[in-house]
Amino acid sequence: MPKRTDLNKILIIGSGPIVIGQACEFDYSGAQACKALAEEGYRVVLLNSNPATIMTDPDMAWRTYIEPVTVDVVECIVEKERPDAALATLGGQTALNIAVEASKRGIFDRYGVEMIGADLAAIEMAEDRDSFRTAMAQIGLDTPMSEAARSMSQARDISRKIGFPLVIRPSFTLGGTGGALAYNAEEFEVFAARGLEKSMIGEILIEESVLGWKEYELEVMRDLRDNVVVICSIENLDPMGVHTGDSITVAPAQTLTDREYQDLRNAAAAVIRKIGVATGGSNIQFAVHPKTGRVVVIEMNPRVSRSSALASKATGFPIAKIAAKLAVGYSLDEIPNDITKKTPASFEPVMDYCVVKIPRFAFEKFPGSDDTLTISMKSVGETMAIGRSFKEALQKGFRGLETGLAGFESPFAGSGNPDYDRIDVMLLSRPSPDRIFHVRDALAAGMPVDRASELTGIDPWFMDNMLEIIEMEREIVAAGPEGLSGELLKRAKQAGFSDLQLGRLVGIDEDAMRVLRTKRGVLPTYKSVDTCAAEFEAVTPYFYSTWGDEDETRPGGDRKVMIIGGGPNRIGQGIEFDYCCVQASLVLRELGYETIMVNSNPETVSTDYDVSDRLYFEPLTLEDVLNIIEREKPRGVIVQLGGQTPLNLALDLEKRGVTIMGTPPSAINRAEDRKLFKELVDKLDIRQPESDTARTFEEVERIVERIGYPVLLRPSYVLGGRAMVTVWSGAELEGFAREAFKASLDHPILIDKFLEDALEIDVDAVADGTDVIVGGVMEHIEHAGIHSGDSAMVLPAHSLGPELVVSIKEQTRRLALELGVKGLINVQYAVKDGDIYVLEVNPRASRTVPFLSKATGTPLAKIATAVMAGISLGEQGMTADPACPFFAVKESVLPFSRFTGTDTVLGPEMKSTGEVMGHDPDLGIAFGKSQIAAGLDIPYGGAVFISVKDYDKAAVVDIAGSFEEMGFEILATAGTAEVLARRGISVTSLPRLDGGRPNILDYVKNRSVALLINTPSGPKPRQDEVTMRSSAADHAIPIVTTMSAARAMAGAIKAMRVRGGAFQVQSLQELFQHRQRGFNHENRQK
Amino acid sequence: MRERGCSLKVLPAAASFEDILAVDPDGLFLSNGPGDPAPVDYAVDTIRKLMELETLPLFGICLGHQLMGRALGARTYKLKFGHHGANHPVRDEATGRIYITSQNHGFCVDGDSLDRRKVATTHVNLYDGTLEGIAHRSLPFFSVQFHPEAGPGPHDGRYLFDRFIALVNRQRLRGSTHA
Repeated sequence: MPKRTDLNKILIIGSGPIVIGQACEFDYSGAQACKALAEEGYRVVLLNSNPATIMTDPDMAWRTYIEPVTVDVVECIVEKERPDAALATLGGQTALNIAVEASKRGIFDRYGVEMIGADLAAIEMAEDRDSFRTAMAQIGLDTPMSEAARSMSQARDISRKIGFPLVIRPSFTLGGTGGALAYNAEEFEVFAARGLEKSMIGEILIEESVLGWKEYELEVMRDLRDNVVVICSIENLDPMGVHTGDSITVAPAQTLTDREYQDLRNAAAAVIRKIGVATGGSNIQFAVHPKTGRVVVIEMNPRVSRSSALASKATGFPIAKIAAKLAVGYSLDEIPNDITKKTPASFEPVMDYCVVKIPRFAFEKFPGSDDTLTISMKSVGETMAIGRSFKEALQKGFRGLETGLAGFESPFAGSGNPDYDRIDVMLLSRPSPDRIFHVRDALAAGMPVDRASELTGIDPWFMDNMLEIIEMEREIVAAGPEGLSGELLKRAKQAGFSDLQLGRLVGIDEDAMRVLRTKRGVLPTYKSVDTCAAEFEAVTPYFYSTWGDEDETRPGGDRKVMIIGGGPNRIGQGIEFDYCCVQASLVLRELGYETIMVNSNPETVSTDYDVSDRLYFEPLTLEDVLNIIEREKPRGVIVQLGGQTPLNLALDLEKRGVTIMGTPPSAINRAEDRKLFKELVDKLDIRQPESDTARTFEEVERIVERIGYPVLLRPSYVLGGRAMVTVWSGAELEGFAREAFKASLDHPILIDKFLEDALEIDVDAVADGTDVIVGGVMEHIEHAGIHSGDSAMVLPAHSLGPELVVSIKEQTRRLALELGVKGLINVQYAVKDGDIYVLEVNPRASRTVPFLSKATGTPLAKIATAVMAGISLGEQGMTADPACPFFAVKESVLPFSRFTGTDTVLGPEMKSTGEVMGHDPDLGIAFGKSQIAAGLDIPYGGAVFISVKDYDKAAVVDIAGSFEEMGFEILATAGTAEVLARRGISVTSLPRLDGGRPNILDYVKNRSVALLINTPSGPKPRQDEVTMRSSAADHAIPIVTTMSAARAMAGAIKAMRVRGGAFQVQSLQELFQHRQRGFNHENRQK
Repeated sequence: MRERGCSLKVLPAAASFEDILAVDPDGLFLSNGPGDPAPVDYAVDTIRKLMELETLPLFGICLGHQLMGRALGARTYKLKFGHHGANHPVRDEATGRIYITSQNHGFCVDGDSLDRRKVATTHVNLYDGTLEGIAHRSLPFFSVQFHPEAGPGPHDGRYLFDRFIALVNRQRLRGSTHA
């Protein structure tokens, strides 16, 4: 069937901010959908609140709305734009939920909008677990025993019927939020109550536990002609009980016979046909009992998912793009396979390699939280590796994780090889991020594979492979550096060993190992990911390294530039950097360069094969990157856009003769090395808070004595404020200093005088060596001391006078020129009492580049890349600093609800996973929109609870006053209440948690409080504060933990109330009509 | 076919017309086999004789399909790239439905050499457009180039066994009314 001509305008709903369980894979799928539909001539209207995405680049859609992803906003946009159809299957669970709600409210019917991809009936059958179970029974498929409950008493009855252990899953949530496994009645009470609350419809499903069963996923597509193809099978190494997002997963499935696999394939086809996803991709999960082989269907996502992104990268089959085309009426055989161009998309990809995905965790940022892996996802990123064998892919995956491992090594090395029966079996039976290493240690200590498999539920086949890696290590150690023959080295490389890892085993360094290996003639070869195991010629060059005999790369021309991406997402380094890398590739191609992208993160747009001329899916280690450089010989390498990962490679690459494009690596060193930095700012006559560096604790003490408390401690060369902390007194100093030393590895730690209540400013600029343009001066809402990645920011800086803004820009220019920046630079300042202090200079792309680009309509990363390619700012027509003609607020989104028990307070260590943007001519509304976009229910009345530390008590009076004026009831703890009452504010005083009832916890649990304002008493907060804050987070009651945020919130509520909570929506194209700019042809020829 | 309630008798490739009739089958299944169909002329002769009866349902797969094609007067040729693997898309021309199939063959029936008045193309390979299935327009014979029995491979083509058994049953019904 050809494409539909009755549709013209299509609304795509995006997934909003990056949160755990819903990350940049939906930018990848959404961006693909935008491109695919535009290619077919449709007008795409896009809604997504996340400014860091590629999909919200104004070139990607006809109309781009960076507005809160809510039903109200969907209604506004539908009313304004009158789309013919809405596509909600590519924006994760968020988009699906919003579309369901909009549909139920009759919005789509009222305006004649058709839901394409999956309709309401299909979504409801797949998502409502009772109807899903019934549907499965009708097609003869088994599901775990389960029943839905809408109350606690119902839940208890069901628990008695099925028996423990039980899985509790809330209906309609994302990433399994609130899902839990209860082993006993006590746990059941807690988890069931939490689940009922988290579900959008107040319903939980109580299920027979299939804990320990083997877990599989099939990615399936179906078209309007009822054709079904399976794109990829994925096997979870960690068995059922661990969320697939937290599991190590392997594609294709490794431990099934053809007959077993075909049974799953048939079942998957039956499921998608029954549910009725008429057009598009779905993900279907199965559990298989390891002994009996009983197969049960766990769930079906009637949409593109995280696993679809992984499957797309694993096979080369662009699921989201094809799904978008199916949604507008094409059938699979009418769509060509991009990779071969000659064959149709109606086939099943074949892999002649193995893919391993490994999750990356961030438990160290959430002290107090339990690191047991459950059915509620907790990982913040992932890396994918491709190899010719499972062993090779597994080892590449571990080094691609960028946690310091050079392969499948144990981070607990040095503990020796104890007798295996003295190993704590709990370490093996309790799933955790470290379990895989304990498995390794147990196998190394001689634990039989069957025993390890029984304890973990990990299939013996995987265990055997791990054991083979360990055995090969022993062979290498026994051989020693002299005994490493070409034959042994080749076998080792084929089993995934890196040079660094081999060097560690035989006691030589990485360079020596590389020399030795090269001398032995053991060199990498590159194979292509071509969907068809080389049956047809691949047009699209997408490669991975291995150690074979034949190389499938073609050298290409000589105008080649390599871009190194950001690797697995982590807190502090995520989608913002991928955005910059993608922009760079796009502009370099416009300028006539061939681009080579290197990255290991399957969620990203940068690893979409049509973003660059060549894609290498490889770990971002020195060895892997150098190997590609030797093969491709690019003119230069761009390292300043992918975050800390490529930056950490810069000096090593330069030392080996690689040309780094743009800012020289020495500038990075000058900005990072505190001594050099001090010389720099002194030379430029720029003020800096007193600071110093220390290598020992004694040095720390001496420095603190000199500069005085409070001080800021931090390790050097880390991103995201890892182990960064404000210290207020001597009692805390030693503990925090120790942490900082640990995170700093070989580098000294930095000590700065902390400027209390200073205003913090973030600036991004582009320099070409002669000229500098400042992209924007952003004012943090939270004061200095809160990590810039967690702070809300406002553009333009509204409370600095114009003189201060001018001097900040001036200082930024001087810094950029002095450092010889060619490309992007980010500078952080603090302003206190009218004085400007520079806090940090980063001669690289920062997290705020995409936000600034969207807020000013100026593609900073593209401009910076063109500078790196030799086109000056003047030649690009960039002669003036861009302006933001309205207020834009960037708000951070925090993952506290995933880490029960952890404190929700902000500090110098970054904790947020994503961001949203709110914009409006009125600052209050812009802030309010950012809060709504971040998922907050803005309270327009009710009770506000206020409890602040002594330091803030004077400042809180005005804030309380404005809440009182708006008709809020004021609740406060005794100390705060006293201050407020004295100033004539009527306030109800609540007892401390241990001082009587009802206390604030009762109010929180009864939801009789609408907002909490609570500033922490110190860096080591009191337990009752933590309990209160985490309880508020669990109950989704908004809580602000800084005075400035409380003030902004009061302002927002006031502004929003005036308009009855409604606001205008505007697309980027409307906001920046006059600013559609591109590169002219003269520049292209350069 | 046994799963579908058939009782089976397996005969060697060189079985004669008489050998086959001696079994008194309700239908004849022409199985796969290796290599070039051209030298297997003895089987083609036998098939042609069986076809002349006009009453015995025939179902061929792979080499069996090529032999049926030759018996119906078509030529066979060697493919430039043989078909091997378990992921080949084949379209059923009657319904437009696509089936993912197991394939393992180097030769192909030349569609252009078929007598179009007698024989219809039922299946086409979507990779290279080659002929994947034929059926006689009026008599109970059909065949496919791929492996509907699929071991290993996807089970998408198994509907053809149902189609064959339906054909056999219809023929039996017709036979009994004629008798």
